[in-house]
Amino acid sequence: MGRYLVRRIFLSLFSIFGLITATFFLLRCLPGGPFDDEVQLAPQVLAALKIQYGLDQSLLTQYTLYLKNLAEFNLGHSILYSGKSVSIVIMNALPRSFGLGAGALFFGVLIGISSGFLFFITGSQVVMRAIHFMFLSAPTLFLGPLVILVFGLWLNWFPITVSDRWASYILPLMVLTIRPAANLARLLIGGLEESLAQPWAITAKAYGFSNEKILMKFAFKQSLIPVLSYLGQSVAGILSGSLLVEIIFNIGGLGSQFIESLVNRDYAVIISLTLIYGLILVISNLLFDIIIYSLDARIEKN
Amino acid sequence: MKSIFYFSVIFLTALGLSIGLVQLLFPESNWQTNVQIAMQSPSFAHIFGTDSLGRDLFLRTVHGAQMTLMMGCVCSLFSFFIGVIYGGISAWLGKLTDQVMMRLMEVLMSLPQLVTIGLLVIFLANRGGGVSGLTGIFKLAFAISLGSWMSFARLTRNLVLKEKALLYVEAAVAVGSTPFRIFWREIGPNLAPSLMIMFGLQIPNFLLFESLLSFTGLGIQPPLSSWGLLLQEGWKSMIAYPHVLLFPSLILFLTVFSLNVIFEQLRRKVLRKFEPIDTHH
Repeated sequence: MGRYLVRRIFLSLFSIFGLITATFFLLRCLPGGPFDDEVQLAPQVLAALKIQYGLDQSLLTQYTLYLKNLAEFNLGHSILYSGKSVSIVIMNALPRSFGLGAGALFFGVLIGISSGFLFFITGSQVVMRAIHFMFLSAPTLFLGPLVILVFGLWLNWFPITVSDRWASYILPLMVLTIRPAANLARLLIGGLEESLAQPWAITAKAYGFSNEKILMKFAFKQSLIPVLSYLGQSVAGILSGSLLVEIIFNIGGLGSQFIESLVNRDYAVIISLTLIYGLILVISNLLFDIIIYSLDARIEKN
Repeated sequence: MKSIFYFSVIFLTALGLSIGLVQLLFPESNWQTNVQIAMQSPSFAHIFGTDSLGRDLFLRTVHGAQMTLMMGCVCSLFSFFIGVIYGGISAWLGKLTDQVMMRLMEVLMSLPQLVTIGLLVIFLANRGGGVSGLTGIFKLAFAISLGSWMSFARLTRNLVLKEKALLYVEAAVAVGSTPFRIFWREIGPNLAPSLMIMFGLQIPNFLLFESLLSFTGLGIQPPLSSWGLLLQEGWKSMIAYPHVLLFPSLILFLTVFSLNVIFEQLRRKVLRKFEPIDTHH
């Protein structure tokens, strides 16, 4: 366990470092900077701006300075919002995305696991598969507008853009929940089918365990492994929210902020957002790998 | 499940036929704009209704399908090649090379796909929305593929590692076959079914990426048309005229759905033959 843990953490750190470096150089090598748009600036003004944002130094100096600042949690200043610090821009967007994402994760797991179990017990796996395909394939650009039209405009149950009222979060939550719920239900059913087909299930039956006990005590625990590994891969995506949902419901979250800074070449914000996305993904992968590792003794331990 | 499968096949055939027929009978240059019949709801004359310039929305949807479907296939093809070559080399050389190549891939995978693709689109397409013309489309496809070849690489690596341990490969090495020949003649045919199905299963994802990028303004640009652009247009007038958004997005939904159903069915049918031990699917 110890060695595996150390190795895993080391690899995660390497990923993060690689990410920092790659993003930094990728963006600095781009043709076209943030100041050569629309209005032609006087050369003196341009030079002053470049000095103010540190763009006049060599790439290597900028890189080491960036690393140093990062170590001190100083993310620099946004160019788009005239010098507002990046941490403020991000702290505005982060809670909205995270709040919605956490809600979607909670309801996704709740609905997914319970409905999967229900479908399995009632033996309607085929129905489940059809539903799963439908929800899995439904593009957010179809579901989002549909939900807005049906529940927001025609039935007039919920507000259609996000405000301070809790009811306004229901529609985006609905759209965000559907896919993880469908996937989890499907994986749980697959896992249950697979584990019940294995020899130990027959042995357990031969020993006289009741069907319920085999299902609940043994099969359920085993079928959690595909469920958890799916969650491990997708929890970061669910948590950081969906870009389209943010645009459709007018939520100023991470995703819409990212697109905006991409279009405007707001270096500092792009890099910081990229890093945050990367951090969320790497950390959640690490956590879930450790959980799965401690749950399943059969994973090869090298 | 069978009826869903037939539905999917029929839907995709119909879509393909309509694309061909529209191209033949109603080429884009013949379209009339007529503001007097703008934004009409669906009727017999215009089954999907009309858009803001009075053009038939059904024709526009079918026309946009060309670009979106082409992007889907091209992106899948690009990522197929990048992924198979990368994964193949990594697995074949093994040892340190494999380690380094896999760690590098993990760095790429430590970002959400959309973030990677967004960065690459900006990087390749120069200024914010500079995707126009044929080279623009090519760059866009390349950016999307560069952000999503990793699943192909992973699959290829796993498959090659499995095959590499088998005796026929050892025999081929012993008689002095070059690695290229071994890949092409010996291992390749054994990997083909899995890779083909992976290729198909990835297409729907790419359709969604295209519409998403075009919807946000990072993808295909206006004089051209694609589903993402149609959706962007429909989104602006959704509250007053929902049909302009709902019909194209419904077709996108059905296409993604059909492709998923068909390739999933193929996977269950074909791969079972190749993995006789794994009987419960």
